[in-house]
Amino acid sequence: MTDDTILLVEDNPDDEELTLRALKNNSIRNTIVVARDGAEALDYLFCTGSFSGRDANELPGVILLDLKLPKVDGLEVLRRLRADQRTRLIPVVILTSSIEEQDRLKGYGLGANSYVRKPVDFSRFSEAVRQLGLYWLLLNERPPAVLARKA
Amino acid sequence: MSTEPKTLAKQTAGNISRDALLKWRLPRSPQQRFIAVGFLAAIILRAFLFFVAYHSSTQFEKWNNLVIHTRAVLKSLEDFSSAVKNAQLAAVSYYTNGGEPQVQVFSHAVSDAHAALTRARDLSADNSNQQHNIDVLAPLADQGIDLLRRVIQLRKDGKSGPDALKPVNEDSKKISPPLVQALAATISEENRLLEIRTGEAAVAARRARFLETVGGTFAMALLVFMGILFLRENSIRANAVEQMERLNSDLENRVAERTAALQTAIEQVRKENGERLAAEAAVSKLNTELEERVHHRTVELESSNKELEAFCHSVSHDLRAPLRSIDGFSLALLEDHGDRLGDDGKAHLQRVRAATVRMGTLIDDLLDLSRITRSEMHREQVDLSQLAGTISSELRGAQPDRNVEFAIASGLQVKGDLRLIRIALQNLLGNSWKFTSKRDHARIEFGRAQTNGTSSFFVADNGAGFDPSYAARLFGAFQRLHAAADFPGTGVGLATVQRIVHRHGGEIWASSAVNEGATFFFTLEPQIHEQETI
Repeated sequence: MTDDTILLVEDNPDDEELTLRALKNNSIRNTIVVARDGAEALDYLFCTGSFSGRDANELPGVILLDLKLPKVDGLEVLRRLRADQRTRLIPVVILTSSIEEQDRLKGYGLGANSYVRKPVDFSRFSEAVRQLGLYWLLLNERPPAVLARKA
Repeated sequence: MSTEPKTLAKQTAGNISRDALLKWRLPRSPQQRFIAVGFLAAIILRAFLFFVAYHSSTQFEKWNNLVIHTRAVLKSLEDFSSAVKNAQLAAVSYYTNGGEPQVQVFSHAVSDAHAALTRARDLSADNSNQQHNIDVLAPLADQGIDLLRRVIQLRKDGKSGPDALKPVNEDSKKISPPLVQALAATISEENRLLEIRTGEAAVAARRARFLETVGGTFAMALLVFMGILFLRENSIRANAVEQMERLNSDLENRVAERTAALQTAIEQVRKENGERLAAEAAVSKLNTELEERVHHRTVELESSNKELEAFCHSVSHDLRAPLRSIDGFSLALLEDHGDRLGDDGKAHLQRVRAATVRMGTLIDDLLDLSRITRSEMHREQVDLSQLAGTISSELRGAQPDRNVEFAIASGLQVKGDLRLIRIALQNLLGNSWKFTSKRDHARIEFGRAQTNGTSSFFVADNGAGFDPSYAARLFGAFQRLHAAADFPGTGVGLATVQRIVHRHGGEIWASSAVNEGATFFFTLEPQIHEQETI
């Protein structure tokens, strides 16, 4: 795994499938790790539970985070990874159905880098995913890995 | 409380009488001054009269003493005269009849005459005229006495008969007239004095009597008059004092009455206070209950608000997710298996996709509507004219090919929530924009209107308008008066506008006719005479 890995935190299999389809349609070939709830996402990031054998130094280039998740919700996942030295600089894009003011406020408040609403129209959804991949994986310069780990 | 005013009143009365006493020393009123002057005049007059009367009585006494003195002189002269006569009688008797006792009588008479004359001389020592008269009289008297002694001697010599007396008689005829004359002059002088002195004494006595009578009477009258005035003044004063005392007593009574009334009033107030306190306690209790109920309701409302928020959250999240799946997989079907579906199948799938997108829009509008109800109000000064101008530019920008004339009144200001008012104006102007889409010369106006004494804003257009009989449904959510094919929309816009207007305490109403355009009137602050309808 490299910095090009995308961590998709999504509990809805339809949305997962559609997101993956959109990425594929837009020729984004990066490794995509899917966590189906908040706990799994945290296990992956901190190499615990079923991910205990994973190299903790290998962190995803961007996290696509849904908010409404079983066990540990998206905002809690965000809070915990921002509180940890290792993960606090990873770009996080909140990708959700909700545009509730409170969710947006809390999301940005906890350090989200973007907040994108999933459109109902799949064409527009696909376009959004394409732009996200393009921006966060190609255009955007990620924080230096060494710094990120030492900071 | 009830005894205090009386004590006070008495002290006041005491002060007044002390003041009155002080005032007596310096009479203030003309009446009192007049009486004081009158008394003073009477006293002065009395003193003057006393002085004059004293003087008069002294004068009278002096003159009286002089009269007595004069009478004494006259008495002495009479004594002298009678002594000389006695001596003469004794001498003549001895000469005629003899007898030694007559000689002795004669001697006594002579010495009496001498003594009387000496007394007269002494008494009239102050009167030179009388001294002179006596000086004349005394030698003549001595000569007369000598003649009588010669008569006695003649008898002693044994002579008798008238012839022997002839020489004596001759001498006597020479002496007698001057002697009688001198004596008469002396007596006359003394009588003159007596007359003068008696007159003077009488004058003094009369004067004293006159002064005593007239002056005394006048002084008495003055005193009596002043006395009457004083008594009258005193009586007036006494009346005044009595009246004052009566007034004081009245005052005391009234004070006592008022105090009693006050006491009653205080009791009343105290009682009423008690009642009021009880009422207040009841009100306070009711208030507390009310507050509790309000608090309870608030808690309920907060909880239902939270429920509503949770509902909206789940609507926005959970309802949209399946829609996204339907649309997404429909598209996937079209893309991956389109060739096996045929044109009909593709068309059907497109309709499925259109419906899902439409439902997504409906859910979004519904969420917007609920958000408008729930969001907090931030009131500030809003420039409606500027806002309308901005929105009109946005509309033009979206469809630059349309020919629409905007007429926006300038300087329209209102106090309200900018964000909400912007949404309301966007909806109203957007509606006008939409419903005039079939006009060659569309006209949209925004301004202020006066209807039935109410100042309102309005958005008017010359678009499709609506049937006024459906006006009641105009502001209901998802209510549409036009076919979606003619004018697209979800039917949430006017419901949203109405909620915004109501949240500002305003009202919204519309007038229109089919194909004659529509005018929407709205206010953004409570109208006093319209509060019943709000």
